[in-house]
Amino acid sequence: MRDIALGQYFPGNSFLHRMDPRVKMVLTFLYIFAVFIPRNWVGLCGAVAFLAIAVLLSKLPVKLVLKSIKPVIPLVLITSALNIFYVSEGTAVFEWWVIHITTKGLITASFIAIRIICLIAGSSLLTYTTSPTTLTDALERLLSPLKIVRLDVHELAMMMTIALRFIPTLIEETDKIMSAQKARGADLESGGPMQRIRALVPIVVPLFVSSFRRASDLATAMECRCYRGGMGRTRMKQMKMRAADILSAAVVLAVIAALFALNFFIRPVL
Amino acid sequence: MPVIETQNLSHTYSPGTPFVKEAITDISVKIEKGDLLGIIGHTGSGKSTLVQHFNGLLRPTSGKVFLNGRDIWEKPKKIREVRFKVGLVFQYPEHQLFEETTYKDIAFGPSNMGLDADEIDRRVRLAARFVGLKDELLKKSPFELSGGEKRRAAIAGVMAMQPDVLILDEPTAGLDPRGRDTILGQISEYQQENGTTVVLVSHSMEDIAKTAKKVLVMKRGAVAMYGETAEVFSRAGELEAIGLAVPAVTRIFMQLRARGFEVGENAYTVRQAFERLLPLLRKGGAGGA
Repeated sequence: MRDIALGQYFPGNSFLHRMDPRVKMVLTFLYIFAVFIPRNWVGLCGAVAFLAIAVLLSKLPVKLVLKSIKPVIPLVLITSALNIFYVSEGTAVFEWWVIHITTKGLITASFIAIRIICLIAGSSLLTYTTSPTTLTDALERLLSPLKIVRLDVHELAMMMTIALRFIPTLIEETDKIMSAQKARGADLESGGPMQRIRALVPIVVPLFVSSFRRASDLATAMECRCYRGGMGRTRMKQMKMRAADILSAAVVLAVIAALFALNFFIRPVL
Repeated sequence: MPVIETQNLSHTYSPGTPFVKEAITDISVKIEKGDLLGIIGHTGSGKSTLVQHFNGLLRPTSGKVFLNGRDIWEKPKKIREVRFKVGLVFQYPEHQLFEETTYKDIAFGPSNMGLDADEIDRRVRLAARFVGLKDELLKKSPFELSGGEKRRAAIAGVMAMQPDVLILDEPTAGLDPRGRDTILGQISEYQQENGTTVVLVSHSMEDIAKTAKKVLVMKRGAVAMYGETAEVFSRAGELEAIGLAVPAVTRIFMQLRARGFEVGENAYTVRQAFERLLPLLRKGGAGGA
């Protein structure tokens, strides 16, 4: 249970860590969009290279970034396989019974695989270099125009912050309760499905009780510090756009423009 | 033959990740049958990790744990039997209560053992008596009990399994002095009446001094001292060097000696201090010192 890397923030002080989270968030979305632009190898290599540079700038262990891709490997494999077997245009490289594997199919499959990997690695770069609270703060600021349609953005962001904050706490709590019940001989590993569900009662009930207790403690603590929602609330740490943020935005936009341009100048393989 | 023995026991949390932490290193201890052992150490010294190996909740990274001379991990499928023989009461055990009535909650352990209804009933009532829970409380929901009662109900839940070894991790944490004395008294009584081996984990020197017959001192995941309570507390200087506050009475004795009073050995309970200081005071009164 302990090993689940939720809210996988990896503290550091790199260029990416110090970037304005709002800019970082928008640029990540732009990048996700950008990996779908290239229709030729040069452009795709460019998108991968851009990501590689970003990883280097983040000073994160490369192993960590690779680990973030691990959970999507099955998805990558399935989509690639589907493309290999279903795309029938192009020259055939392998034919047997109903299976036709073509060059076009192989190219499509590798494009899709590389795109998914870039997409996941790119977005995990955002969560690795930004703490969950900063992330929700940034989201609050980015969504603030929605106040016009009477959406309480602050409340939404506060709920997200609290939820994220308590995930590790709840995991730890579950761990403890499970150990305590196992010590009393609770059998969580054997029996049929019904028996297993019933075996969860001694874990779920205490977990609920403690969550309610925590929630009421937190509410009291917030009220003691005069929390009254988002109206007129100021921040200790103001988010500031610096020259570096504007520069990064310019670079990303330039990369996107270049990817589009490449599609015109190089013959598409897709 | 010791009831629990560890050989070169080590445990590492989250190996192979950035959060790797070696909690205990190369621990070899023997706990004799019928002992009332206190384990003491700072937060993070590995006390809880060590005791969770005694009932097989944690599996050693290296080293072995023996229960009555048998390696508990010889047959990993039979680990539940070990948990019935070595009862572990966790820190803040009241957080594990879940049943509709206190009675049913105390019966959870014994029913997991597959005992028949009569035996379960006998054990639940016996355990409830040991921790001083009255019959009418047993019919109530455990969530209606007071903080101290909840704690005692949770302890009864483990006692009712009648384990050979009863381990309690910080059983007095967060209780007022009276609640603390009540629970410690009940634990000693239980130990004397049944001759069960009891292991008491605490960071309170006072609690250990009052209750335990033997003391194991832990420091940064290793055993710093292990011996009879009197012997360990006679090395008060070393204990303070580890950063463990010796009981207040012991400190008074050390100071008295430093000022030239012949107080003899260090006392670590108020009772002992009383017995040692009284003759001294009488003498002092006669001599006018």
